[in-house]
Amino acid sequence: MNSDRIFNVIIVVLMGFVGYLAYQRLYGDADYGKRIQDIGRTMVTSREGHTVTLSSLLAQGDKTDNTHLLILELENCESCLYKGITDIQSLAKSGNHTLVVVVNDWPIEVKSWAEHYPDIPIFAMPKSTFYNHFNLSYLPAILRIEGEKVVTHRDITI
Amino acid sequence: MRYYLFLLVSLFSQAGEGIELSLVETWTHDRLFGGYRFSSIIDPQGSVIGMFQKDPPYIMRKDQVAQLRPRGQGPSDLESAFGVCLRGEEVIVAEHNGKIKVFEREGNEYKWKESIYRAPTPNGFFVSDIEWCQDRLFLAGVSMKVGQDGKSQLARVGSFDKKGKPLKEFAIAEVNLKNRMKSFLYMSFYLATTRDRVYFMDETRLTVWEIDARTNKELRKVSLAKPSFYKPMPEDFYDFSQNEGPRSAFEMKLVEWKTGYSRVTNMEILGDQLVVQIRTAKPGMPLFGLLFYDLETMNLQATSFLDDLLLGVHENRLYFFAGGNPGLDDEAENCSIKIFERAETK
Repeated sequence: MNSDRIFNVIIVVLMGFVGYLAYQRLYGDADYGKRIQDIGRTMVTSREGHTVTLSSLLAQGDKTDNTHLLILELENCESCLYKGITDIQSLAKSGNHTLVVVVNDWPIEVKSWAEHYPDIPIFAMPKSTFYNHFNLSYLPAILRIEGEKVVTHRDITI
Repeated sequence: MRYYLFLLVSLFSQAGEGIELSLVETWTHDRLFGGYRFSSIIDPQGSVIGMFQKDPPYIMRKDQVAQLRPRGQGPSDLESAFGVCLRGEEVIVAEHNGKIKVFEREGNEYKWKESIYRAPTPNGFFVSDIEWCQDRLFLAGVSMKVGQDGKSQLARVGSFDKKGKPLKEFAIAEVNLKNRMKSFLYMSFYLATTRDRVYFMDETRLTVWEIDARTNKELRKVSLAKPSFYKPMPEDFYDFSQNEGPRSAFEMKLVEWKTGYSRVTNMEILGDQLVVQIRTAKPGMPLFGLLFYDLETMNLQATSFLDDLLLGVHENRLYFFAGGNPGLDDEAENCSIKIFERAETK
């Protein structure tokens, strides 16, 4: 009798563990949703100097529309920047909606850097905005955003 | 006494013309600098602009030594800097990650004019020196390409257009030893320019590359004549595989490599001569030998000896940091700039 009960407990625990693994596999890091807060109010500046909300730049349409957002600082490792930009160009080439946000307080600096990439939509974001709304411990990173929700996240390292 | 002895040696032992250097000014300031790697220029007003490894860029004048720009991340600020050069009357500073800032003179100060960003490359470019020539930017340093077969290539000079777009790489070398790759990050590389030529040397040997800046083509690679005191660096210089002990042991070894051989410590163009400064690495001799090569024939014309580190040239004057390199030489503690004038003796 006791051994049956122990067996049942073990089965329940194992099933719970399998369920947890399946959830992680399907939905990934539970923190994804918290990586950007108030995305609708996050402001960025275009190369032309226009200030817009980040949400207005995200892919809008049916639920399958998603945006790949590369977020970086100009001081990040050069190889990582190269890899991040190359990945974004590759994603754009295969039909994905892409954006690049450079965390920097001086849009004129971002504009100079962005001259190398005339075909990529590049925006500047003040550091204070980044620290107040983003929960990323490492940059550069590529986020996949569905609607206004971050669904996957990848640090770009060498 | 040893100055006079070696001055005599330098004047009479070399074939052709002799070079006499006469001290015309000394500026002394109460300011310490640190780190062996440096980059410096003499601006059109005759001020020294430069930085040693552990300091931001400074401007040194007869009556003042001050930071070129405040430290910071803004467009007009400077953070870590790796190379400095002139573009006409403007000063260009290479910061990290391809950030290049241009400053123009306003009265006694340099103000930010524009930033140029070099496009990121797969393995980065570790900058040691920078020059502007014929509307092109030239960087000396290390751009690595790691191959699958263990063999690696590195380019030591890169040319870029005025917007920072890569154009061409020069002085490309094959590197087989894995441990040697990192070593190049500790080496110094030098550029010097005439109106349309760029000259490149690395610190390890007396070889100079000449590049035509108009056509962006390598013209020649010349092995320069070695003076009698020349002590070549060993083939296994900077071999990290021999230094698996504590970091302090490696740093001691680094000082030995930097001072124990006839390492190139600077290269400049003075009129129609290529001036190369090397360490003598011989006890009892002054720290440095100053070699004057004819720019056309690359023949060694004269040699002088000094205990001071060459910072740059302006008109007919050579500027030195007294006592050597503050990161390596005990005598180079305080900021003392010595200015010599060149006089040719037949």
